[in-house]
Amino acid sequence: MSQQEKEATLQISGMTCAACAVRIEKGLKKVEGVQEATVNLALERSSIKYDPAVTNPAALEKKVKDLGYDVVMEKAEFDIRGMTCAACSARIEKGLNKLEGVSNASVNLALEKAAVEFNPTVLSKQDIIKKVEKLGYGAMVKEEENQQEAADHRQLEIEKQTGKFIFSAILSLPLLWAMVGHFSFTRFIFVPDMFMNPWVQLALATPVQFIIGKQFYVGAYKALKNESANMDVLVALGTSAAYFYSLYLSFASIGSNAHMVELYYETSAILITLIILGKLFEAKAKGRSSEAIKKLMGLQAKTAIIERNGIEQEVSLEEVAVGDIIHVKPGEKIPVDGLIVEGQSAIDESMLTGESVPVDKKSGDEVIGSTINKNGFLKIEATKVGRDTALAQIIKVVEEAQGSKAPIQRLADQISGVFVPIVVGIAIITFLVWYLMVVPGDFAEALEKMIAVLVIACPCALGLATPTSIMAGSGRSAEYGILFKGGEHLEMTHRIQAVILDKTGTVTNGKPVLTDVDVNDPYKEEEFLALVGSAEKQSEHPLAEAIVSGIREKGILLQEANSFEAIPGFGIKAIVNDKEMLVGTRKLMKKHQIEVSDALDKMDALEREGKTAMLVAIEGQYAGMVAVADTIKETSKAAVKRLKSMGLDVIMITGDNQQTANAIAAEVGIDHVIAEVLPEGKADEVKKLQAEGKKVAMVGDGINDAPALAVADIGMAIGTGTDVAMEAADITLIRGDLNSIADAIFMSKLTIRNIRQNLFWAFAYNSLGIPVAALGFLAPWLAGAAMAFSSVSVVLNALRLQKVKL
Amino acid sequence: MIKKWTLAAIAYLLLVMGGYGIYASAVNPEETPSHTEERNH
Repeated sequence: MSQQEKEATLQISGMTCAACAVRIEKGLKKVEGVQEATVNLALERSSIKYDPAVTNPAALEKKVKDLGYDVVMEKAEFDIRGMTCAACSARIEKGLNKLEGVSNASVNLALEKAAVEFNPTVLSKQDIIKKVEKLGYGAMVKEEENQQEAADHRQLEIEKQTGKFIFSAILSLPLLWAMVGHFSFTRFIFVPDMFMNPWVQLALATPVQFIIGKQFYVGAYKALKNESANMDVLVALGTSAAYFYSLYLSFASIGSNAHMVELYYETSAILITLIILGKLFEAKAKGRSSEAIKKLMGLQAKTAIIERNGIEQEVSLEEVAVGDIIHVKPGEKIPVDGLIVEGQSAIDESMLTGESVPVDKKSGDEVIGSTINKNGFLKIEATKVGRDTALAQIIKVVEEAQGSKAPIQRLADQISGVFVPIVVGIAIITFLVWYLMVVPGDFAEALEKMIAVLVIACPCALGLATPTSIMAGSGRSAEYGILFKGGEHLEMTHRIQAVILDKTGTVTNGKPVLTDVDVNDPYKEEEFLALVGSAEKQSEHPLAEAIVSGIREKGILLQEANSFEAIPGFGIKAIVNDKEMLVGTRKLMKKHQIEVSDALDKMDALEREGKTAMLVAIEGQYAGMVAVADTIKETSKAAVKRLKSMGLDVIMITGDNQQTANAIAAEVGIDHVIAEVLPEGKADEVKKLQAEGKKVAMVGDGINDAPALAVADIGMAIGTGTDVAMEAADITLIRGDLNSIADAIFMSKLTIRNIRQNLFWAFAYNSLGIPVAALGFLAPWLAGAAMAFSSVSVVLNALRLQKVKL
Repeated sequence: MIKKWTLAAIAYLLLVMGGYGIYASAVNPEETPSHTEERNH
């Protein structure tokens, strides 16, 4: 192979015959710079020799895709350590994207994660880790079992930062105390002599500067090595300048009256303490973001009982393979997705669907992993395992959703990115102007002005502005049962223009209650209901439970049935008071040849209203019917009115027929109804509204809402629903009350306003302070105080959010 | 972890204060005039 020639291998999918292979070969050969291309149909692989000066693997991949085939890429996730700001994540992203064979790399700062799509024939995961390490960070492949470790790693990080903060706060407080003595208006405050002593100050400031401040030096070094500047550079420069200048003054003052010297140890120590506090807030916010995933992982079964070679054996979940026959006893979790091959049972899917009614399933039906087998023994053939199961997919969706970045937080980081070199430049100019022109030859004075510039410009308030507000805002929201999953959602929510409400479980309670009773002669209602209730009493079906509790509420006494039989999919058969009872569907009546044609019109009418009607036969004769239906939440009407008054477009979406949907919508005051939507169609409806340029919030509770929750600008899960819907959503409303939607939007508005105020304060301090300091009107200690005050004002402003009343 | 850092800080602070105390009272009492007094002059 000559020096101008390289070889690339692409794994191609979508080829069906030799013609396809030829087509790809021809197509690739036409790409400029390609010397030779061969495609192996059986291996689905193409080897290409090309001139790297003219083309690259990415162009070749594109060509294959243009031809209508796909290049198989491996996707891997890595945990990245050592990133401090947006500049770091951008650098890693850029570095990885430059790697040959990487088609796409994205790095998430908040989650400390990198998602890389790469060509496994060109490079390995190890190569990617090496590249990250070369850039000055740590990386490891993220496997599912590493989840726990990652969470522990975060917890440890929080503890470490807390410890460092307390350490540096304890040592900085005496310095702060001494600083207070500098002000003329605080002269009355007693300051112990020892804290005024330069050597005591030095002793207190040194550990803070080098033990606690080490991370800033390391961060600054890494950034400078990669020819960029971040906040660490400014922090390191500003605090070092203050510290070393004070150190110089301390030595210079030997022999003279030490108390007359103005030192700036407190400036450096307090700066570091405050910035560590910011880091602590950040670490806490990061830790919270992984909670949701941990909970989802917890839904999984740990082991499965499988039948291999006719022998039952318990194996761990990872060992289950597609095609294995799994035994699931009543009350156990179904370990993986599969098909029932033997047995029948009611399956509780509420953890995934929000549907409180267990679903009857029999041989040939599909079951989802991590749902619960209620009452029958099942044999299941595994169809999806590991990463392919429904739950694993949901976990992935949630993780990816969390991978998105918070725009306003990034803004602060980006600004401080340009800010640093500019400030350093201004500081140097300040020094030169003072040293050469204003006070020629007076090094100390010129240095003093430069420190003042560096210190006042420390974008510490800028760094605190967003995380403190977000922590306070999301914390207060959580007290009201509104859980924002991340800062970006807290930011987006206030822009919402349209709210789509799922009907079942969101506008309504999602729980059936007895609504209608129709009795035929010769029975009286009370006698009829006593018989029906007694017959249904032994059934565990939720509809039966709704009927029984509805009858009990009427004060009717129930008796024990002489015999009882549940007929899945049909209804029940029982003997009460020596009377044979049948309660159930049309099919049940037909099966027992009971004439019900007169009742069918009424039954249809009830069903059109969205109710479930059940026919009752006593002693072989049709006797009446009972109907159950979902009810509207008490708070729904007022909440809809509130949303409308906020200028929001409120829309109800449901799979029900138009007539039922309209009836319910009218009752709660919603004018816009989208009915008869299949579960998978909900996401399309969201997209349609988005296409009109609206920011859309989707509110739902079940797994069938999950795609729509994901597509919407903001997905809100009603907390009375399932854990999984909550995990898929951006916001979880624990109260299950629609008023929480308006509250969430209100909190978002307040928080964003708070962040803007904070950013304004931070910028105002920095941009007003720099010229003032450069002109020499600001002593470093005053600059330090102003800087500390700006941070404190930002934190105090953020804390106001914790007092908000909804 | 948190306890460790806190204890280290307190121990160090006491050490520094103790060191100064010994220096101020035993070694060189004259050379460490009260700052408060001086300021009030």
